[in-house]
Amino acid sequence: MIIQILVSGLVLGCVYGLIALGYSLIYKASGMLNFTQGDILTLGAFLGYTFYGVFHIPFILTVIIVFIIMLGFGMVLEKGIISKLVAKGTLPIYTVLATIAVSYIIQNGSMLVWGTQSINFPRIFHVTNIKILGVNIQTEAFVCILVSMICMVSLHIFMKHTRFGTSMRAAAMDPLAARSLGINVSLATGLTWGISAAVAALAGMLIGPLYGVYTTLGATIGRKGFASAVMGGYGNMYGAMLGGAILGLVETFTSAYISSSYKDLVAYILLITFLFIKPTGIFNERAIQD
Amino acid sequence: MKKQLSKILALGLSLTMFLTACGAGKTSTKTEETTTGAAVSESTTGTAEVGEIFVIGNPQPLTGVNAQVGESANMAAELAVKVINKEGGFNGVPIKLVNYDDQGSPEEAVKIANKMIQVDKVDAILGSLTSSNVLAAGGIYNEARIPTIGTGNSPTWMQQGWEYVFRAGLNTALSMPHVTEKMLSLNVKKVAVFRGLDDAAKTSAETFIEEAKKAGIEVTTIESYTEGDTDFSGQVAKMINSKPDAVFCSTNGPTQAIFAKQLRQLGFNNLCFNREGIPVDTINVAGDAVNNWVFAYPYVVYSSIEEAKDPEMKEFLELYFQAYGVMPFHDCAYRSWDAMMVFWEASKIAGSNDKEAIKDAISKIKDFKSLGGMLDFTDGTREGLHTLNDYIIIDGKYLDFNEWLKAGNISKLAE
Repeated sequence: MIIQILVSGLVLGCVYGLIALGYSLIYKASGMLNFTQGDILTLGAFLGYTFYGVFHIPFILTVIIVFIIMLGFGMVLEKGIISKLVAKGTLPIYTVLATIAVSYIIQNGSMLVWGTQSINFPRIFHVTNIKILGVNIQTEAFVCILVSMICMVSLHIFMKHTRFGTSMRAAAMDPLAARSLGINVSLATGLTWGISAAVAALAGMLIGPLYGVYTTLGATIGRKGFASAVMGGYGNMYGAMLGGAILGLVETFTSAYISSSYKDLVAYILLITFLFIKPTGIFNERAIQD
Repeated sequence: MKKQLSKILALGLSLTMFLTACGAGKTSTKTEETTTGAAVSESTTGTAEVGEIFVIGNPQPLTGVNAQVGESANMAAELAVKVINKEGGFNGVPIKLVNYDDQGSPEEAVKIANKMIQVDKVDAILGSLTSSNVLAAGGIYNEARIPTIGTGNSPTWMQQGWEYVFRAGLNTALSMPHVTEKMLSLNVKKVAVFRGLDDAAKTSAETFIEEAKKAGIEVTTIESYTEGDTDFSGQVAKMINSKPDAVFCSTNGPTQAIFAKQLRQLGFNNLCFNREGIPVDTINVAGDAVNNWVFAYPYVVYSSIEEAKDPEMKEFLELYFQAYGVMPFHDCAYRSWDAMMVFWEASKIAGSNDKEAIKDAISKIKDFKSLGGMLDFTDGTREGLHTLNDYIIIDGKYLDFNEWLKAGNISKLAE
């Protein structure tokens, strides 16, 4: 049973981690907070269901299509709202509020298009379960862990070891200096938001077959993803995943061995503890103090 | 180019916000006028002047997670208005529904209640299907002496002693002794409970626990969840470790399907009992995981008219399908229809549309055939429904649980 709980906690943690990756990426590359991540996950799940479940487009193709759509969505969000507010010289808090407003628009918009009932996201794999360490794990859950790891490593490599990733970080640190060096700051920032949205949508498509798809699917996950990013070290890719894993495991083990009533209490006390004792997170990312 | 792009984006956003604001408009089929928050619509068939119309206030959730359920309830209520007015209304007076979107929020329910009484001068109230909203607004209706038929299932609002507030649907508190009786007959001695924290889910679970204790059934563990959670493996692990013979589940919305999947995934294959009917969308999402789930409920949601055996139900489904081209999405449609029929019957018994007379007449209704079974309000509890049917889900279909037991299927389950 303990292995089963461990795996469930890890799956949950990986979903939180994928969302946390988006928060971290945006903060790392543009110094902003984006609270639409959870609802973008929902939108991704709905789009995935539409292409895969309704139009019967192969899953891999569905992932590519939704990834591209959400990449565009994230860029449009940044260009159409965030950068406009920044250009007006509004306080950073207003951009955060704008992202909260957008999250409600996505939630209500999804309600209008797909309705309020739970929708069954068809299974991705023919093999229902795979056996790891003697316990049955739903194939989609295992893939979820695998994809999260791949995303974490690739995003880290992209940000740290590619020219474009370096440009993105430079654009976030000092836009003026970056511009003077010939970096396209606008494109770099837009792309960051796009990638974050695409990763969140990917998470939505992965958890769709596990949980079904409904309009509030990403609401709680979004909040927990934020907490994960803070715990891991806001702005750090590995920290995002580790924070997610810790939060997922803490929640699951608290439910199993203490009480389900204390699950959220313990999780958020952990977040507050990190904010007070180690605001730079496990990976000592200095983003919070910037 | 940049200016054009921002104009397009602004237009797109405005359109989305407009559509969001009009969410209630889409969910109510005959909405003529809607506003955000308290979405209002009126519908009547007939041409009587104001003052010659019997006005029924109908607050239901038309936005939010229960929007589709509220829409289904409203469609049935509108259909009832059409049928009743065609037959001459209440004692020759046409009836009219004033629809409001209570957003499933008690705060909104109170605001709407005051508006319906002071501005719309309603003669009766139908709903809400959200029990916590009836609990919040019921006292206001009662004080204004307006006959009300709530359509939520929770026992709490009927425990307040409001003499003007009635129910024509199921009180889950009444079904709990039935469920524990059924468990005893199946030799269930230990049960684990999984419950939500909203009023309906919590109260049903508490009533069940009380009844289980009375019946000598041991409650091995009580696990809860927060709305929006997607992982219940911790709770499930604890429940399975407590080695129950069965699981009792008191949840709402999408949680049910996810919980059922994780419960089966972690290896619990025995019978599970649900506090109320399991809707079709839950079955679609949960698939095989809701096999062997049992519930005691007056009705189930049918996918086709042919599935229904009861003539009253068949007739209602035919009318509904004829009017809207779809089957009712949720049993809340049945509840609203039955409530409207009770008002109609009361107006006939009273022979007048006076609020006091209607209220007194509801208490006299006996042996009245509804979609949920025979209604009897004469015992003074203001509850009309006292009978239940037992169902089990097998391969996505609702089967008669007692027939299933008679066929000896329980021994196959044990194997």
